[in-house]
Amino acid sequence: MSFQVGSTILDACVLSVLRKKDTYGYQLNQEIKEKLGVSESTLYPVLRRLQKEGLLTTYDEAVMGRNRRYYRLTEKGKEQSTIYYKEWKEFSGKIEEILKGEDDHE
Amino acid sequence: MNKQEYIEIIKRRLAVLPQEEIDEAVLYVSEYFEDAGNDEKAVQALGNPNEFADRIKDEYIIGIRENPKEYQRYQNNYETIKANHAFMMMLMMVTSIFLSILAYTLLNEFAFFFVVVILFSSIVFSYSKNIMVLPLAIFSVLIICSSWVFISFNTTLSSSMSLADGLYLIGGMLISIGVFGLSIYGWKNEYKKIMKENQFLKNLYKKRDVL
Repeated sequence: MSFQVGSTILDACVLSVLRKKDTYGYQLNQEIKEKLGVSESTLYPVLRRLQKEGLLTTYDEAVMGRNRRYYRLTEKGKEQSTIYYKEWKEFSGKIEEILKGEDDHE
Repeated sequence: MNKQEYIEIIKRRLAVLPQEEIDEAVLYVSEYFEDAGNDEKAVQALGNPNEFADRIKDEYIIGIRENPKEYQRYQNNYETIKANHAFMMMLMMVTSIFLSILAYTLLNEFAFFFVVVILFSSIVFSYSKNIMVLPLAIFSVLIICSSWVFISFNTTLSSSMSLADGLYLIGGMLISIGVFGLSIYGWKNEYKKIMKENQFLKNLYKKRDVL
């Protein structure tokens, strides 16, 4: 794949995944990896930063005798994810236009 | 590599960051290992522990530079901790001196003194987090115990300063010096860590303006 998933896009994807439902570190990693092919090793700093920016919070739940930390989107996070989506649609639309050009590319 | 080894490496690599950052990272890694179920899979997913830690540090540095409020928070924390420690040291010094005098004057109220010493020792023990305080306290208490026994069986106390009095005083002094010394020792390590954190943050903050 020639195109790289930059940090903003990664942020947007993480927020979007959490928008659907709360999830925990490992599960989030698996989902992002599945859909984007991004290596899981880069995800923790992103989560930590988003948390400090107030876009997500954490809570703990006891699971099979041990603790599991869940991530949840905040109101601010929801708003940001909507903003990202709108910006993405605009951006990707423009890129699509340029790349498509006049050809059919068949 | 297993979970413990991985965590040890990142703990060392992240040692310069505030404790909260280290704890959060360790928690994340720990849970990841548990959820992955397989150590190899987990290590493969998280990547090289040194790189993992470096990424966390980089992100933290960026965060600090963009958010001076975060730096302010740690600066305040540092000042508060310093003040608390200074206060505790003063309190322990005063209490030690007071207890020594008390030991000397309340010769016959041993039971009361015994309770006070145990109480004081447990407070200091829990504060200094140093297990060596306990034997010292017990030893001092034993000295006082024996002095009391000695007094009880000594019916002719002619001089004002008897052997028992001396032992009481020594016991009291031992507690004061020992406890005071050990709490400094216990605190010095914490102090070093705080100083290192603070120095690291100061450097970061200075570089920020250069950017």
